[in-house]
Amino acid sequence: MKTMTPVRAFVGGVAAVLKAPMVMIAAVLLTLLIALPFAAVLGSRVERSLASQPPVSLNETEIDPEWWQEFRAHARGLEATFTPAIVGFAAPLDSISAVLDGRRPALVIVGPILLSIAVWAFLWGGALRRYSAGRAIGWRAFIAAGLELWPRFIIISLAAMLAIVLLYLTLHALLFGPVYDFLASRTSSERTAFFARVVLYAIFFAPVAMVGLVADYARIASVVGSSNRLGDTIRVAITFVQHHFGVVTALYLIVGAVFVLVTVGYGVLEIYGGSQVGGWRAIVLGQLYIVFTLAIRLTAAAASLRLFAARSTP
Amino acid sequence: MLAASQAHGQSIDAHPPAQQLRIEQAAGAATELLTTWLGPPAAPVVAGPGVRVRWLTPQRDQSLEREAIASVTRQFWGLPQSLTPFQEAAIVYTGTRAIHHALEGSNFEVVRAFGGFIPFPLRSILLSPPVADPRPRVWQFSELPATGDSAGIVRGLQTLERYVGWPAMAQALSAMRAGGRVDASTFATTLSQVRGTSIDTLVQECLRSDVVFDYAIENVHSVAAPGGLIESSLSLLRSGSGVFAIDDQDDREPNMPILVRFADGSEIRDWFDGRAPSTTLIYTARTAVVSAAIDPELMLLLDVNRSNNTFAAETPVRPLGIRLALHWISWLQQTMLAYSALV
Repeated sequence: MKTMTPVRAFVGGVAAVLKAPMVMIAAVLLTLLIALPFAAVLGSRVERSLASQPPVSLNETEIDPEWWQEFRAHARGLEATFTPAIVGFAAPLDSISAVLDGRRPALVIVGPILLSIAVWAFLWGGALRRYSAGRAIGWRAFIAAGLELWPRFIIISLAAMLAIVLLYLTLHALLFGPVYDFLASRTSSERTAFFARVVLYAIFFAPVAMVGLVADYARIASVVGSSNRLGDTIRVAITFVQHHFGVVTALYLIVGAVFVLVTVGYGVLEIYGGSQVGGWRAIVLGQLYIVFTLAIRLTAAAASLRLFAARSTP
Repeated sequence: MLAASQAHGQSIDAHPPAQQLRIEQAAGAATELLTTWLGPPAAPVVAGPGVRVRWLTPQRDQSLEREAIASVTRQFWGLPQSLTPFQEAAIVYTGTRAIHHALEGSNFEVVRAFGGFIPFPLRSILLSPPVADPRPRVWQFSELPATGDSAGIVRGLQTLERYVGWPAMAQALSAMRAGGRVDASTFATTLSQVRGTSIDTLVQECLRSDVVFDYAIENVHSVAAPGGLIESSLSLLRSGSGVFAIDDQDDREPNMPILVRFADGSEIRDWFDGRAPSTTLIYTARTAVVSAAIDPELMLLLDVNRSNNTFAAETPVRPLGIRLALHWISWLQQTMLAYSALV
């Protein structure tokens, strides 16, 4: 029997996601459905504001920067998040940068983020059961698995969230406060300061990734493991990550590398291809990138499940 | 003018050669513009002081040029370190104008990520359209910020420019500088002299920080009139303490404009007294009023609430609004995924 290597697990994960298109469709639809009500509220406010725009010679899709500046000057709540960072590739750049820089999400965005975590807790149950079965399980079984495992996965997500918030409040604050200030004060150029920042990103992200990995494998252990107790599955996950640290990390890095490659590709496409804020191209590209992000996320889960199933079997 | 020897002075030596060239060009263009508009500089202008040495500055990221122009404008005015709000506003107003002119067609919005080190210019958001283009432009740049009361005065100056026109404003600013007194009352007097009508009160009103401008359409009512016509009455309200009106009744352009559109596509451009707390305009026409907009060209930039300046029987859905909302959806989805991926 062949050993399950990280590459083999990743390839198997890709195959599993491709064989289960309904899971992918469910993830895409749910992600869109969470965002839609908020976008409807914001959209109506934008429309109202645009209606009072002076009739200058703008075509239907051209943006008036003065209007946007004025809109932002009076923006509160949801409207305050309507910045140029929402346009095209700036959106993922801003989101990734916000996570790494520890920028607190606007209070009004915390709701959608928590809702997203709750929905994913449901989605993971059905998706992992489907990938574990290796064949179609039907939507009833999918929903039943999602509901059955939802309370447990919510607790796992909340525990991981608590750990990560603590890391932000302590390690991140230390690294990007006094440590970064010290390093930046000793650098002579922005380039050196940036690379110092990249090193600090890596140092900070290592424990954050570990927390995420334990949460992932705890969910997997809940689906394919023998124990039904939450504490046991978390213990199993920690033990698995410890004992198979090399392969687990390698798989994580493969997934990360694919994500970075496609993200950079998206950026290059936008820089050289160009996209108009009022055009459809940027919107379509943005949605395709989200579909890819969801696919890579499900692939990571399916690949981790294969790794766990193969390596945790005595 | 910006002398070559000064441009190559020590202040920009820390920048890489390519950036030095860009700073010199922007500073040179700005000095030339400001000299044309306002007369000679207070003292020789040097390119570079205050311009940060950036690692990544792609050509479409013009923050380097904007900083250079901001620096030149501050030197050009030659005002003391402790500025009054009006003096600060005069610098921001003229500097912003210089940025728009010097960087027309190439000044894009830039999003900075990863600690602000990585710039991503957004080609689809042009901050400074070509000068001949009637499209509006942003009124302030982060490289030349107006703080406290001066932000309102900048808006006041920009409002006055839209009322009297740039040539009159440039003439007034130039004369005020030549007189050696840079304050609101001197500017008001000078602008009145340049324009040839007394607009002192209007200028003072626009440059006061405690004044709130807010004109609104309270309601629009249409009823049937004799002869198969429709009588539409528009109730207008001055909600704020600010008054946009001039004392001189001989002035060619009376007070506040309003654009009224009827269901048959015809439209009327009218004016009403900006002093009155409320005004009722009545029109008898073949069809009813379907939309109206106080200050349709956005002259009064000081109006604190523009959403109540317009009335529309039916708000048309603009494709741009839908597309912007779709961009925001993508951003929200990506933000949700970025945070939820951690747990």
